[in-house]
Order: sequence, then C-alpha cells, then structure tokens
Amino acid sequence: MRAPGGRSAAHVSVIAFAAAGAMIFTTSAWPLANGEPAPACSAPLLDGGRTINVADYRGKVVYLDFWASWCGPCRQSFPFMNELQREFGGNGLQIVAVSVDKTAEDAQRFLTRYPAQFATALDSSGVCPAAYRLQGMPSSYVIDRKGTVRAIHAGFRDRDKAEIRQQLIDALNAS
Amino acid sequence: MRMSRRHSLACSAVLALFALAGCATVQPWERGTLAKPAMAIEDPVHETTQKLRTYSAKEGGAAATGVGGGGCGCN
Amino acid sequence: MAAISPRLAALTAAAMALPGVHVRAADAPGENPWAVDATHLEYSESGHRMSVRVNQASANVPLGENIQLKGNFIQDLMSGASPIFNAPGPGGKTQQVLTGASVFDNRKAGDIGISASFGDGQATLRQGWSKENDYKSRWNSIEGRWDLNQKSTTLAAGVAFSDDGVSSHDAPDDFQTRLKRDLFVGVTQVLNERSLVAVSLAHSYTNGFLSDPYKLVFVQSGGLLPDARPGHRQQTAVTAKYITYIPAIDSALHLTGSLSSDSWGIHSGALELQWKKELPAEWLVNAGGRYYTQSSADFYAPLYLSQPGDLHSSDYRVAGFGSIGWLAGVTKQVTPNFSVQIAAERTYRRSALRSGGVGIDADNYIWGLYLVTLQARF
Repeated sequence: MRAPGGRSAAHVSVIAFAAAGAMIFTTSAWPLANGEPAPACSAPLLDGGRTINVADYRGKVVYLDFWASWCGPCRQSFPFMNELQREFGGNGLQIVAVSVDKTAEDAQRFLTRYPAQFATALDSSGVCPAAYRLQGMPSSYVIDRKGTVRAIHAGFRDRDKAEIRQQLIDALNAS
Repeated sequence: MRMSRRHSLACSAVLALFALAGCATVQPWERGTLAKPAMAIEDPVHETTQKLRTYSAKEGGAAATGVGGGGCGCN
Repeated sequence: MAAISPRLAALTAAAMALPGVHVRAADAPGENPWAVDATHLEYSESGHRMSVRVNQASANVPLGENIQLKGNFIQDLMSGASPIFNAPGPGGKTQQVLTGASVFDNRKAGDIGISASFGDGQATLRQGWSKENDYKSRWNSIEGRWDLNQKSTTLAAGVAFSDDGVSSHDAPDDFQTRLKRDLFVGVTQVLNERSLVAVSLAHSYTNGFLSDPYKLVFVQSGGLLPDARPGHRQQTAVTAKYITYIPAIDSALHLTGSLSSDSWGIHSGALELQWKKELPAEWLVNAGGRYYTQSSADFYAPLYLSQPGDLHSSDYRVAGFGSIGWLAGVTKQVTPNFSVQIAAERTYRRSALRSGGVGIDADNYIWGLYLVTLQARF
C-alpha cells in the first residue's frame, strides 16, 4: 500500500539531494585539540563591566567555562565550579565563566538563582565560543599556566566531576 | 566540512519537501531561542490529549507520532 | 424494532481503540534524570454520551549513567450512552439509537521501558498491557533516536507489535484476536535560530477481528445485522510540524498538519495551530485551534435499504465527518523542580465538514475535556 503521494515524495527527495550537492557550504568548525594554544577571548565582566582577557591570567591555571541561562546542565556545573574555586583558588586556579546569552538580564537572572564565586563575563557576539570552536553547550577548557589547552569537556555530567578535578590538579602541579 | 555537508543535506532534503527557503547553520551557542519552553517540540500534556483522542478512536485516521529534537541541544 | 439488551450496550470505545502503543520518541537524557508526572483528565460528550475520567502517572528513574527506567500507568472509568445503530426517524431524517442505561467500564493499562544512551544515540524498549471488561492488549515496542549535526538534526524510528483480544459483555471470556504492527520514522531539523521543522511517517497493519461487537446495522427490508468490517486494515499517515518564534509578539507558533489514508477508504487530514507565550514569573500560556476531516469507510452506510454485502458498518467513527475545535492551557513552574499545567479543549464534530463519503447529522456532537498535570523533575 503506497503512502499518499509516495511517488512525488520520491521525486522531491531526488531533487533535494541533487540540490544539496550544489549547495554552498559554510565552514564548519573542527573542534579545538589538546595542546593547542588557548585562543584569545575578551569579554566584559557581568559585575562592573571591566573587560577581561583569558590571556590576562597567564601564570594561573584557567578553567574556562561557556554557559547560558538556557542551558540545563549549567545548573549542576555552577555549584561544582564554586567548589573548585574554593578548593584550588589558593593554588592558582582561576575559573572564568563566559555566558553566551543575548542579554545581560538573561545571564543575571541565572546568577541570582545559581550564584557564582568566580569570574563571570558576557559574550553575546559569539566571537569567543567561535574562537574556541565550541561543539556543544556547555563546554569547558582546562588551560595551563603557559596558556595551552590541556583538556576540553563538551557537556557536563555528574561523572565528569572527578575527571575535571584530576585534570586541574595535574595542571596546577605542572611547572 | 564533513559535518556541515551532512547538515546541509539533511536541511535541503527536509526543506525541499516543504518548498521553504532559508536553512542556516545554528551554532551550539546560538540555541537560546530554541531552548525556550514555548519552543519545545514535545508537549506531554498535548500528547496526553492526542492519545485520548486516538485511544477513544474519535477519529478514524492514524496518528503519526513525534520525533523529538530541537531545544537547547545541551549535552 | 427489537429491544436492545442493556448488556449489549456497554461502551465500545476502548474495544476499537488503537491499542495503547506509545510509539513516540524516547525522552532526551537530561540534567534532571528523575521525573514523576501525574495527570487527571475528564472528558465528556454532549447529549449524555460518553464520559471518561482518566488518572495517569508516569515515572522516569535513572539506573546508572546511561540507562533509564520508565513506567506509565493509566486507569480510566467510562460511562454514558453509546450509539448502537441508525434508524429512520420522523420526517425522513435518520436518527441514532443509543443504549439506554449508563454503563461503566473500567480500564487499567501500563507500560514499562528501558532506555539506553550511546553517545548521540538512544534506544528504548517498552512492554505494555491494557485490560478492561471486554478488551485486553499486550504490546512491545522498540524505538531509536539519533542526534546529528551538533543536535540540529534528530532522526527517530520505531516499531511496535500489539496482540489484542476483543470480547463482549455477553461472552466476556470469548476473545477474538487482533494483531497490530506499527512503524514510524521521523526527522526533526533546526532551520535557523528560531525555527524548526519535524516530519514523521507512520504505517500500521492490523489483522484479526476489527468489527465492533456492540454495533449493529439497520436493514430497512428487515432485521439488524452485526457490525462487519474487513479482517485487515493498513493505515499510513504523514505529519509535519513547523515551530517558529516570532520576536514581535514574543511568542512561539506551532503549526501541525497531517494526512492519513487507509485500506478501508478512510482518508483524513488535520491542521492545528497553537500559540505559546511565556509570561513573567515562569508562566506559560498556550491556545490554539484544530480542524480535522475524514471521509467515510468504503463499507460504511448510515443504514441499509436492502441486505448489504459481507462488509457493513454504521459506526459513527468510520463515517464521513469533520471537526473544529479550540484548545488552551496554562503552565506554571512553581519551583525549579515542580510544575503544574491546566488545559482544556472543546471540539464540534460535524458531518457537514466531512472530506468525502457519507455522514449523517444525527452523529454530530460536541466533546470537551479538561486536565490537570503535575510534573516533578529532580
């Protein structure tokens, strides 16, 4: 029994695939790899508006996290990042959480509910996540004291916590 | 490059069926609007009433069911 | 006209229902893996026809990192009068003959399933059952889902197998078999930052006893015959959904269209438009309208002047008709973990709106429902 309009659907599909072959492709981002230098990223802080650069923190280990008010897993990652900042701040860890929200209001609404004891900034232009070739939300990058990317996490799950902690310890202990 | 080609293929195949135009690549950090609750493709309440409608055979037609997708695309 | 035994007149909606097959997309693994939902729904038709009260609960429990256990349970109570056949009425206008007494039918149904995630894919296995006085069902399904293109594209497919037994109140243990196989495939594609489209195709094949044991057909030349439908039925349906956000009104519009066709000659189409808007303090309102139309089955006639062939039915559900209705709802996220939703629908079923075939005004009625749902996520 043929589906309604089965034959015309087949014709359309053939045309569709032919059209796809002729389409202009936008450049797609290959993900960032471990060992690459951390790309430049500057964004204004959410409290105060002073613009920070990831490069400012050379000499410290930076945990760069991209988040958004609309990102569900970020509700779990924020309390975890507070723990990390408390635990390793003294040893030279700086967590920098960059929101990709379109407005500061959206970002602030999230922070009211999930307060952050680390630096939070806003990049609504999409420049920073594009520079870091972000593959999914949220994403975090462990950057060592020399400004090299040591580890990348796409997504945040409970089981990532132990791994992240260990990667930070390794980066902090490295010369 | 490979990923974008697949995306374009999927886009054009679907769009051709609708004769719509304009399918843009949406980056993971640009999914804020799609993540809004009002944009959710699956509505559990609507599903319940759909089920009741078909369950009680109010209508003779079969119901093609949902696929999911859209949203924030978070991991 | 022979008197109709009240016992013959039990509600048949459930017996003819599509079996409780939840061939739907598996839920996305989320950051709140625990979920509990409860719904209470009340449905009624005009003219003392069917009323249904439904209680439903479902739960989602994570077992380890990539495995989820899901369960659904539904219990409903049906009562009300039900049409048995059509007969000539005063002024040459055909009228419905309904059961006199209010009858009650209690249905319990449930299903359990396991979902496993593998990277960008997910597979779900489900087993379900349904039981009431004169109908029982057992079904299995398997569904898969795969996210591509950084979750801009979602592919899904599923199959379900259902094994039903249909009996009647006169002979409750005498079950006739009905087997059903369902298949669906679908794709969801993000079009741009504020729009997406989803298309799905469903096909089902049913064979066995597909007639309604409580329905009769009236033959003018003498007698009432039992409802007699083909022993098999193939149905195909395609659904397309377009969702877009309109910044000017800060709202989302959901447009859904579907077309369906089957081997009984029933062709149907539906169109639905919904508007959804978020309000401050985590309220969400939605409102919309729906239009549906179908043509009558090849073997349908409101009544027969002379002896019909082997296949005959006067069931209003396989008649030609259309319907138009509205729906509206309100949702409130009470706490980050808990939300409440209230929704209502009202639909006008009219033979005049049919897309083809035959239908009678006596079959027209209005139905409405309201429901309350509580959702908890942890």
